[in-house]
Amino acid sequence: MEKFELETQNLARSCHESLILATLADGPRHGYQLALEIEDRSDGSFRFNHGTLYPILHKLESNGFIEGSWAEPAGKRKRRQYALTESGQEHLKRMRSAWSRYFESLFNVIGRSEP
Amino acid sequence: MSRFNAFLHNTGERLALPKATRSLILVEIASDLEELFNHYVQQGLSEEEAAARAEEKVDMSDEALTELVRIHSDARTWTDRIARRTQPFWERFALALIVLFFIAATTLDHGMRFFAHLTVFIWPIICILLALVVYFIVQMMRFSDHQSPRRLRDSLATPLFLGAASLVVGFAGTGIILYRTLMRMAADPEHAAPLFANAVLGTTTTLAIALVVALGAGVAWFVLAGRVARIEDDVARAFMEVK
Repeated sequence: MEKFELETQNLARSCHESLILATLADGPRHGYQLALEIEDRSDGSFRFNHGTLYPILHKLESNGFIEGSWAEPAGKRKRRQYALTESGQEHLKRMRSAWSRYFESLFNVIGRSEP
Repeated sequence: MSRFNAFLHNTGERLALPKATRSLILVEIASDLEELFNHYVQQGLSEEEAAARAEEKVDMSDEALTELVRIHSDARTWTDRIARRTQPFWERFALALIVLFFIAATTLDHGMRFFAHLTVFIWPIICILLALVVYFIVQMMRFSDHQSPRRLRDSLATPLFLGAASLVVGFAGTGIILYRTLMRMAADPEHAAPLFANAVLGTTTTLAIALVVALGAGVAWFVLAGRVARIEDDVARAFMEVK
């Protein structure tokens, strides 16, 4: 697998992208669902403002990592739904490896917390 | 757009993007606002509080809006503009040029004699032309499915690529033929003049066909880009009409 390095100057951005891709790995979601689910699954550690969510979603889509489509549930407003693409799955794998390497390096310096 | 009208209007004002793109983004934001509103109402908030909380959650900073504009303002924006504004004129002009070229080529020089001078590089150009025709037919058939304008737009680079490939083959072929002819002229100076004349005839006719194929690719791109733009406008209009 191609080695992927995190943008250390923009870790928050890489973190947000990883969170979105990982959540979409469980199935397609709407924007608001993504934000709420990430917040819920991280016990509130990652609170997404939707304002920051859209640029990340659209960027991931333009990179081909996710694909957006319009769903129209009966009697409801049309909604934008996002799904992980094959390319996105590969990118997620690369990001997981990159995060593991990053934290390993970090712990090598600062040490791990006592149990 | 009901209760979030003012919010959406304000956000739209700050999104410096083409109408169709802006509309689609606003519809996405509007649907998320509604869902968040319902979520907060279910959590026990009053409608006013839920609406305020939803707007707060979805509010976009100037930085986020700039980022969105940057993402959607990629290289194809200027091509979109050209396609929207000049399509009818350029379509007519380029089509007229192609027709005139073929009439002139097939009638002025006793018909097929024009084509008798073509070099071997005509074959890849014919392949490119066939690929262009197949691509155009397939794309026209795909227009009946309006589900994914983005996908249609993503494939618009193909005719431009084919046109460029035709030009590259035409010019590279001209260079190669002329080089080989010059080598033969150096080896056989007595027949230099007819050799050179034949080479010039062959390369110019082949290059002319390559240019026409490139022009055809350009016309195909204008037609398809215009269609995609219309589909995007239709989709955006349809979405904005909801509620």
